[in-house]
Amino acid sequence: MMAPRPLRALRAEWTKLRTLPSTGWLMLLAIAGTVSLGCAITGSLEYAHCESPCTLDLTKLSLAGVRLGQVGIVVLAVLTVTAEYSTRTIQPTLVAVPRRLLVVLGKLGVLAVLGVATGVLAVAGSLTAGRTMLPGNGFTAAHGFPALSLADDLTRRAAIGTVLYIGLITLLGAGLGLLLRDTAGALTGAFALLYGSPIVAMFVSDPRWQHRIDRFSPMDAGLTIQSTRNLAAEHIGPWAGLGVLSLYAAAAVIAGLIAFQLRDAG
Amino acid sequence: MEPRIEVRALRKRYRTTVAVDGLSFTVRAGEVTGFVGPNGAGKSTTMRLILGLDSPDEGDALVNGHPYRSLRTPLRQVGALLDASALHPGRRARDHLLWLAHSNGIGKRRVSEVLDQVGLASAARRRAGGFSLGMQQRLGIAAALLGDPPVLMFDEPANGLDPDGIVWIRGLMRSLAAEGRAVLVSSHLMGELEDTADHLIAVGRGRLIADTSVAKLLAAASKDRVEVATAQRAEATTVLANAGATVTVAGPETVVVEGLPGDRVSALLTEAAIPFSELRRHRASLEEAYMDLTRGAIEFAPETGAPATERSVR
Amino acid sequence: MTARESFPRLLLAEWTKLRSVSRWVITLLGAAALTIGLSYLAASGNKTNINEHADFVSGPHGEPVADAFYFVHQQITGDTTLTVRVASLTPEPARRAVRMGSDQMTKLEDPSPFAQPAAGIMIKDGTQPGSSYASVMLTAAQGVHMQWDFDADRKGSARSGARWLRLVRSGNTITGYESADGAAWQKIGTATPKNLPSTVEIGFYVSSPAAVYTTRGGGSSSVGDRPTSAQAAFDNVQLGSGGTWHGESIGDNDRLSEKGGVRGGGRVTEANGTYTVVGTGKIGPQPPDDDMLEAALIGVIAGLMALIAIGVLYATSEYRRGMIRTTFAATPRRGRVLAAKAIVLGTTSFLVGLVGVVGSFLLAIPILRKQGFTPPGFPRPSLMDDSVLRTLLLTAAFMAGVAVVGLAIGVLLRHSAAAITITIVLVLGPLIVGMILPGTSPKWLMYTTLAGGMATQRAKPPTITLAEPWAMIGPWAGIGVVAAWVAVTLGLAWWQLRTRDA
Repeated sequence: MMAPRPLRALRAEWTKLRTLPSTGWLMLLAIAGTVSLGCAITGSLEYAHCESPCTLDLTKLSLAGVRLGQVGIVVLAVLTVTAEYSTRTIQPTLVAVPRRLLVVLGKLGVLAVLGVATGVLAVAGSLTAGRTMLPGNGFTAAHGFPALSLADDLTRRAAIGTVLYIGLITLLGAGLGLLLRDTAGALTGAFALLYGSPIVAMFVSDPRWQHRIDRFSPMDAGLTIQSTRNLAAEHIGPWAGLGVLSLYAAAAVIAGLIAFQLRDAG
Repeated sequence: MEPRIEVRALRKRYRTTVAVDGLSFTVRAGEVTGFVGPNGAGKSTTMRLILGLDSPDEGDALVNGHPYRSLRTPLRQVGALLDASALHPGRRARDHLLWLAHSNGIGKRRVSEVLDQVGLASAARRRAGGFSLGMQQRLGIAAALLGDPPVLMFDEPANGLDPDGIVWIRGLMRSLAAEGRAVLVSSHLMGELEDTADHLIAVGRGRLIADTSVAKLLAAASKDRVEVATAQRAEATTVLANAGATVTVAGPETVVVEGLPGDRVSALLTEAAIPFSELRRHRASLEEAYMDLTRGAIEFAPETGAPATERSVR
Repeated sequence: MTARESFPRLLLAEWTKLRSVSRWVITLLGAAALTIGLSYLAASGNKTNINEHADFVSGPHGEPVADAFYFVHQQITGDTTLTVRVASLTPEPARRAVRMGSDQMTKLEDPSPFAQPAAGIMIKDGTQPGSSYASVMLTAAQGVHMQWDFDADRKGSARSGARWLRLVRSGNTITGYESADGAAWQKIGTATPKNLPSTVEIGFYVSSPAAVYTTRGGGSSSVGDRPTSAQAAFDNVQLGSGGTWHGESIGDNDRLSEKGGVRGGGRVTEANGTYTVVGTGKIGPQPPDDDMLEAALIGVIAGLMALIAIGVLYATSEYRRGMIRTTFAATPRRGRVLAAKAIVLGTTSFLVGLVGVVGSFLLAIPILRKQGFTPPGFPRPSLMDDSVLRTLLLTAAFMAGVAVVGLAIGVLLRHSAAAITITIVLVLGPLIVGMILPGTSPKWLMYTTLAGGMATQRAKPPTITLAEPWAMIGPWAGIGVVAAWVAVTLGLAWWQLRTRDA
């Protein structure tokens, strides 16, 4: 008759997120950020300026906006957890659902779904924009650039991988939030983790070090799956890269979960 | 099983301070139990421990015979108002109750019912960020009532309420108890519990000071004192004191006589031809009774007496 | 009245607020520790072998230089005067874009006066590459210049076309002149080269620096160069004591290939007193692009993140529990509160940043020196060097500036998450986007966003041959961008504090 406890917890968390106006805005920000940076990049490409053989990876460039757009989803993930502490709604939450594991699973479940949904829309928007704009800039089938299409295996893999990437960084952000409980700390940590390593890689001149940093930085490794050309030049395999990101997300979530189980409600 | 809260040998320490120190008591059905003590005596901590928000270092707290964390639909068993300001300012009042309802499989209709019950129906669509302290308090009470639970806990429920609101919440608690529920109400002001509580649990520095019915407490505090209204206060005092009574001045024309039965007082005054307009048994206020109790707490806080309890427990 | 005069007391009050939150103090100390720690750890990620197979020679001060050209010269002793007319100078047209390997590369326009094809006259301490010299030259696009010892440059007239040039040696000084007609002479400058023995080589020369082609974007950069050549005609050659002219290619001839330049490094032919010279090569500073100081300050980015969080929280925490009402009740003039906060935070962050960068410098430089960052490619930096001091102070100022921008954005938005995100994105976003964007386009991002402040970490002049977009602008431009952001955001915050209710 009554829904089982995990479903009730999930539904409560969904209601919580759904009833905050910021949720929709942050998702919109993520989608708009991704698509608009993608448009800015694809719009600036001209076949005429690319001497043959032109080896541009149009799929990767069209989806590059996610590096900016992910900001919205990271903020959403972190805030969903840490705002419970800053507004102290963690009290009614745990009074209503005393099994903490259920609370966390409900939150992560809802966030992952929202993350994936955001990812689907952002990727669809970026690829559609690329598909529409690129032929106008000379990237036509006649020049060896068929329109971006999910029928192409590598493009499909890039699209699916990008959606998964967004889902995973949502979990990463939520895990950091659970661990640190503090908006400022968790956000700073998440951004440092995502953006810090590519910037450190810029500083570093030793190629072996650059290779290591690229392999183990969550953003670069995770987005390797966007590549559809010159795959040999990448530092890590496409699925292995998402695997690296999954490890980061899993580590954050597990550490957060343990902290959440052990500590008083706060 | 009869609804009840049982607390047994509960102990909780935060870093260097012991917030709750071996506390045991039972909250029974059909009564309003007042939970009193100065600020920092451990009342809120005890409530958090009962609700499983914090884990006790020792002892346990059972709600209807079970630890809170094992309850499958806790809101249907216990309604609690701990911190009424624990609201997301961006969420509408109704939505705040809605997610709580969803978490325990409670229908939407019940949300509207409790909003009506606490008088927030017209503000249901407003965001909680704009609520006054009193409105937040009403919303918190609505959340506690949501699952129609047999056990209720309110932490300082009168905070921020206007006089009308205070009258309302007293009536609400009395009626909840009259329906056979167990009601635990904490307060640091005795006046709030006057005429409301049936039973009293007093704590100081995390320990139990008293666990008694209000009637007994008042009777003990009233002892056999007699109140006399007379225009000749000084003469009356002399006569009664000579007869061995302790006389204290309680007003411009009132003295309280302790140590003599009422008929003896009446006879002595008549004998001395001192006119008096009224002679009745003195009834102590809850405030007085509590002060007597905390004076007894001196053994816990020998340095400075009762008021120090408040400071030293923090 | 007394309260109004007590701005120092307000500063003290704000300082007390900052230092009394133990979490912030820990974060501030953490910012310095993070800076030093990451710099220390990541320093081992930088390695160079530039001194092992150098494409430079050492100049008179031991610095890396390029010294290659075609020299028509003779030996002379004592004071002397050489006059020539450069009748024409024709540089080889360079292609704007070439293919190298799999990369499409575009020509890098280098505006340095040392990087121009030139025809001129020179007095040099022998023909050994890297030896002292002084010269006067007509460049292809930048008029007349006088240069000496690979780093000194005096600009003459901006004329092109035929030009008379003259060098006069008198003791240890050499004076350069130019003239349109050989009659009316204008002085350009006076040089005292480091080593000027009494017997020197004197003559006329042609140089033509290799064209540098770069590609950058997608997170990496590559650089390649192709030699070029230039041809010039000299006539009216007058030297006090007329010896025999002898043509010789100075410097490294191996770099001349079939792709450009001329075999053998150049040639000279003479007909009726007119010498036609073809030459190739560059005379000037040739520092490696890699910046040792920048490589020692990798940790700044980590410290910056912590300071942003502090800056924002220092503002937003006032709003969280309504403390701002207490603050404004104590000091009703809100602008002064903001000023006090900015000063306290800015000073504290500057000091924390300074500890961080000086610590990074002291710990990371020895590691870098072990990994090949040694003279002559990388002169040993000292804390007292102008460029080192400038870099460390400006970087600390950059960190302080970003913290204050965080504060101002925190006041504007009153929301920690939003303010932290926006500030971090303002710093990091343009860097990420700038890495992806091709060519010099990220320059404008650097001139307009807080990311430009990263340029303060470079001790070397701007370059576009590196992957990092902030290398494209100079350190003063970088700190200027940050200062502008501080001014604008503080101004907006001030305006909002005045107009909006607490």
